Amino acid sequence: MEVSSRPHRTSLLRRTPAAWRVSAQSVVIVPANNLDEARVLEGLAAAVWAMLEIPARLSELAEVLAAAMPHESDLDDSLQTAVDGLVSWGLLEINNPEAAAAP
Amino acid sequence: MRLPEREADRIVGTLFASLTNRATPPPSGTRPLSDRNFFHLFELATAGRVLGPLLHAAETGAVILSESQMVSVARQHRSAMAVAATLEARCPEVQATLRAAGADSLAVKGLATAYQLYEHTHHRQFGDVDLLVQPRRLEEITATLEAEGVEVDYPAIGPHIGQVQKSITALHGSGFEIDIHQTIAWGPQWLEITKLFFADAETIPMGIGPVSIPCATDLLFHSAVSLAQGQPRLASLFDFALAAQSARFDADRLTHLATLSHASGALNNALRYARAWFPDFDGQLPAAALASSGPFDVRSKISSLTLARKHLGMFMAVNALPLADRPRAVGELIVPAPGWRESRGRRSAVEHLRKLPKYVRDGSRTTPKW
Repeated sequence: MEVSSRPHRTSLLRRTPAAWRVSAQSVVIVPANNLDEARVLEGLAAAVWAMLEIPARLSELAEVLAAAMPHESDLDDSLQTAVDGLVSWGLLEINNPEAAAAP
Repeated sequence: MRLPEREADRIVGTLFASLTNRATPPPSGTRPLSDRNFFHLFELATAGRVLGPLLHAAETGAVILSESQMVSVARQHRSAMAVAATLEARCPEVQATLRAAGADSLAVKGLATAYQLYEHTHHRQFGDVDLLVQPRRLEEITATLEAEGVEVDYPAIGPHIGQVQKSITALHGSGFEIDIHQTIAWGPQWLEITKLFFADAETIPMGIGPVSIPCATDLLFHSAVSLAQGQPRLASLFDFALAAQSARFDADRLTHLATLSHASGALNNALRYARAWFPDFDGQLPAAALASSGPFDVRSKISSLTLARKHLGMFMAVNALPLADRPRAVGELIVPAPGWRESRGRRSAVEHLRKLPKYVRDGSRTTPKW
């Protein structure tokens, strides 16, 4: 299921422990579930990973990023694209207790 | 160790200052580094493994780089960080292999200092995994690693000298190098230092899982000892200076380490070079740790000599063995065991003795080339 269809209250957490380093605007990451591959995250994807030291709601990330990038017009779309990418790479997990509790 | 000479060398002081938030911002309108200066600085930072401080200084404006220079630094730093993250990710697995061999280990040098001494881990790069094990027969560890499919590239020189040998080098299946040390330098006194490192070790969370590393004081001491040995990297000087400047060390413990290993000379040496390379450095070490027992302190002089000249330390280390084992250990230093010779391929059987530190004289001190 795509994140773009989820409400901003969806919470996100890192799916796997990983060794990672910040390098300029990017993050280099080696996840525990794939030690043979170092991935490079750029832009928003890098920011999202770095911000998820503790799990956070999508809306919280959006708020922080909007404050940091006030001139970014399509921030919501970009954020959702970044999160979708991280989820598809197996780096992020979506935890949506509200959806799970829904009838 | 050489002193700063070129104009580019002096910019290294700004890199250190930017890490400690002391860099003076350049006057507005300052132009980027000349190609010549940038080339030297970039080469120095790459070989010395201080691309993190260079990138940080550029990002904070302490050093002005052109766009293309910045791209070069960022690209090189990203590669270095990929290596660092990969090595960190593999470390728990290597430690588990060693545990299976009955050898607990501490991560030392780059990985440990990145977490223990730097504000951000991306400021410290490293190119291999260095692990310290409790003094034991390195031959046994070699056998266990080989049984686990790890190729040992530089095994123990022999079964007797293996009890006091500084380190062996293994190659992990994914291609990276693992240096397994039982001492941080060649010489009989360093076996006790290893035990002290284990006594005050700390387990800290890293990306994949917890890793045991020495305390900040021990890492400061280790960096000074590394600087006194052949061909240290500039990163070791940053390690030392950051630890000394932040005063995050236990003065009594540092004095104890220096006294036990007679290594006050190494601490004095490291202070001297930190002051020469980093004009803003104002770290202080306890006077007792810097003082030798006097002009006739033979042990301190021997310790300094054996740190600078590895081959002497190798022969001195034999003194830590029982009397009956010493002749055999000396024999192994001269003619290494068959396993060691096989690992060297067609290289000389006396390579371990010929491969001496490439020092050059600088006053009364030794000068590794960076």
